[in-house]
Amino acid sequence: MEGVKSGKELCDNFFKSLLEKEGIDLQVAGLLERLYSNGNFTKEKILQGLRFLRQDSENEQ
Amino acid sequence: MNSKVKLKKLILKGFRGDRKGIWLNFEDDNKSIVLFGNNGDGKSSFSDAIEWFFTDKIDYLQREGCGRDDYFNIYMPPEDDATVRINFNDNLLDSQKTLKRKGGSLFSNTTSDFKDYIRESSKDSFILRHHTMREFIDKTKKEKLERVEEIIGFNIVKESREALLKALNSLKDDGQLISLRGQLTEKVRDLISTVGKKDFRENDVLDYADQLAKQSDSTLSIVNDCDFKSTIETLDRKIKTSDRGKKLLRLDELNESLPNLPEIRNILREMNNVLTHHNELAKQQETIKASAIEKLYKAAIEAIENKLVKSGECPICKKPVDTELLLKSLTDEIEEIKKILKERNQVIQNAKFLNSKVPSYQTNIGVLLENKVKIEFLTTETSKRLTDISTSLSQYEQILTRIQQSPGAISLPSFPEDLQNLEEDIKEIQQKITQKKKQLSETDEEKKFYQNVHKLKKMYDDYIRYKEINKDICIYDKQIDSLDKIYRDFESMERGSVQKVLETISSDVNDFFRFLHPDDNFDEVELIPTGERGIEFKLRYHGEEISPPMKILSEAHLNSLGICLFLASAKHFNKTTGFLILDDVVTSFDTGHRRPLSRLMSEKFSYTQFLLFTHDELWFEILKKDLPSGKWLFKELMKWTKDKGLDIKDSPITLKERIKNSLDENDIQGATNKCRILIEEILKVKCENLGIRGLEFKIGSKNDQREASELISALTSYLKDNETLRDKQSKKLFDHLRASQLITNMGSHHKTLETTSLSRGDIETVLRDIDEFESLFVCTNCNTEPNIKYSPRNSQMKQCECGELWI
Repeated sequence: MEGVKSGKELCDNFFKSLLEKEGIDLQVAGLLERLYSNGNFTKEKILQGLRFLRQDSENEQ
Repeated sequence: MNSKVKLKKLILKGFRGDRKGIWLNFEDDNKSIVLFGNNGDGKSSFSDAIEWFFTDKIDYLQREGCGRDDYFNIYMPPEDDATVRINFNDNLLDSQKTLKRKGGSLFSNTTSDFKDYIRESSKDSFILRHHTMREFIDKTKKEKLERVEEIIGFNIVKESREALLKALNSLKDDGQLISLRGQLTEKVRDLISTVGKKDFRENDVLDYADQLAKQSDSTLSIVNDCDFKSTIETLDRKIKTSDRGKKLLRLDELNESLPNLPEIRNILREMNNVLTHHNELAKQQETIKASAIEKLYKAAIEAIENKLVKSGECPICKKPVDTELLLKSLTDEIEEIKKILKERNQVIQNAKFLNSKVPSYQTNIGVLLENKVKIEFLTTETSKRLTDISTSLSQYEQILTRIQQSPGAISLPSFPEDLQNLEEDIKEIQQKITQKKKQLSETDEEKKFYQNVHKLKKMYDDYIRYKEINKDICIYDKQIDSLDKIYRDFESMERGSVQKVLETISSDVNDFFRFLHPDDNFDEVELIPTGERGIEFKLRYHGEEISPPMKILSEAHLNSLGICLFLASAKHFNKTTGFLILDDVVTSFDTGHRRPLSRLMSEKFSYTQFLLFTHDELWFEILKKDLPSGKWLFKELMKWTKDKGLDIKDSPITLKERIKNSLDENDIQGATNKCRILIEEILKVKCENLGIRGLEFKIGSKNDQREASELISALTSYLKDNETLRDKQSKKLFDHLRASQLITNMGSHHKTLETTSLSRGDIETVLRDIDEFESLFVCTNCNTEPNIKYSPRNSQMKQCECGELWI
């Protein structure tokens, strides 16, 4: 359809450009982009990914 | 457009109305088709077959409680399977689907191309039936949005948004985060109490630590975290040089773990209160569970308020009900659900907060229950009491965690009886510590030194823990802020895209609606987003804004809006399907809007293959004249019989040919009906040619039902005014036509009355009368009829092309 993107196209573009958005933690953006690309964009996977990121940050301290 | 899949041939056998096998051949160039058939002759068997072929079900039959067994023709041998075969413009997709008696169905084409095609086409919407054409308009605002999102393939957007929101809410509500916030509050409270200030500032802690350090050793100084750490290390080394110092330090540490223990009594009491509150709410757990259908209640209220359901009818079960009472009851129910959910949320928050305090109490009790300390400072009773308290704390902690998951009632753990003695126990331990310190015979100076060092160490531990906790919370907050921003950006992107889609659809719906109703003063038909997540139609009528449309639109207009939306969404969103089926959708259209619909199909959908089914003879005749015969086929269904089942024949192009066919088949009733239509058609053409405008306009369906007698009267009065065709012979032919009109009208409208049934001879006479009447209007020289287009402007009478005949 001319001028109007499909739902998939919209999501593809949104997550692809996530890393370029200002005011967003790069690790969180990267995690969401990865989960979406791999077809794992669920609440559980997002929370699990965020937990791992927090653990990594704590270990780095 | 041309790459979309179209139908070449449709073959049914044993399916629905068909018994022995029947087909619709759309020819090599995939022509559109108009199929005429009286009600009950089996038109819908074809649309049913196509719907089942693509979706494996027939939706409207399923909603009526019919299943796959009802798809078989009832007169077929009970062991035979039914089949639907479709050949497409792309022959690689040709397939037969078998409906098996023993269960299931099977496609003959098993290629991946065909499977892909079936999967993709299932996303398209290509069948519009009379009883479903208003389905969308009658939906609630939220359902309308969901339907549009479904049509445009926004499911993935909706799912992604929901996953983001759920993750965000879960993260905000994370048990560990709440526990960290509780611990931070504790540490801040401890530090404020030590420093002796009203509010907490990190610099105040460092300043106060600096004062204490200087009192212990004037060479020491604390201005930052590093100084603080090195000062503590220096003092620690200094103390550890003497055995007495070590012992005094240990006693001070032990003393430090005592003061907050009496608070346990209050904590356990608060935990008990929370559990009691929870059990009170558990009595109303049906209401908590009902929160799952709160949305249904809201939708019902919306349907009633927007008058989407009949007054006095329940919008959910359709049973008779007092609407006012139902509305009040639903509103009360929602209020009750909200109140209970708010209370339950409070209980959960309190439970999380109290649980966050448990670890520090358990640590302090643990210090006292260490073997060495136990032997030196605790009596057997105190030791047992502290062990019991520790067990109670664990039990309460577990139960408070459990109630966060389930609203059901729980049994309260036994409340420790002898908490009263805890304060006495603590005092006793403190006395023993003081005694021990005295035995170590401190001087006043030493005493002050050790107190300062102990205070500094405690402050340092609290400060460092405060920093750690704060850091952990910051990590959480950073993630929450990012997720929140991403969610808001996503929602805004979705809103913008839906808006764009709505604008695109709206533009076409508006064009199509105005195409169908050019003189009705409707304008700016739009689908607009509403306050909550939803969409609604809006339009202007005589300049005034109307929403929802049912406030002003008649049934016929609403049906028309349904067709416009169907065509607009098919135009934009049907990715693979190149055909559309309109099954008896014009029945509720008035005549004035039928021709525009046929023009709309020809002009705006010239690349689309239409399968148009109708039982309306008059419209069938209009379509035969209006639609280009090179692109359209016209077929008629014969009367359905038990022996033959469905039977089709080509439809003769002229109505006179069809009347003769009916006579040949001895279908007098059919011939009578067609004669009535023919007379009406001829009279309308004559009136139109002569520019007779004296007919009073009638709204809606009354205009359709305008009797031929009115047309004859209008024509007669025109001729009288112009003193033309007033001779005896002409008057006689007019009288004959009036009589023919009367008897065909009686014969077709009162077909159940024996007395009004006509004979073959009657029909033949009517046809003769019609021919003779028509000949009055034809010039013998140029063979044309007088017409407004050949005549001078403002001329009373009209002339034929050569000017010899004036009427």
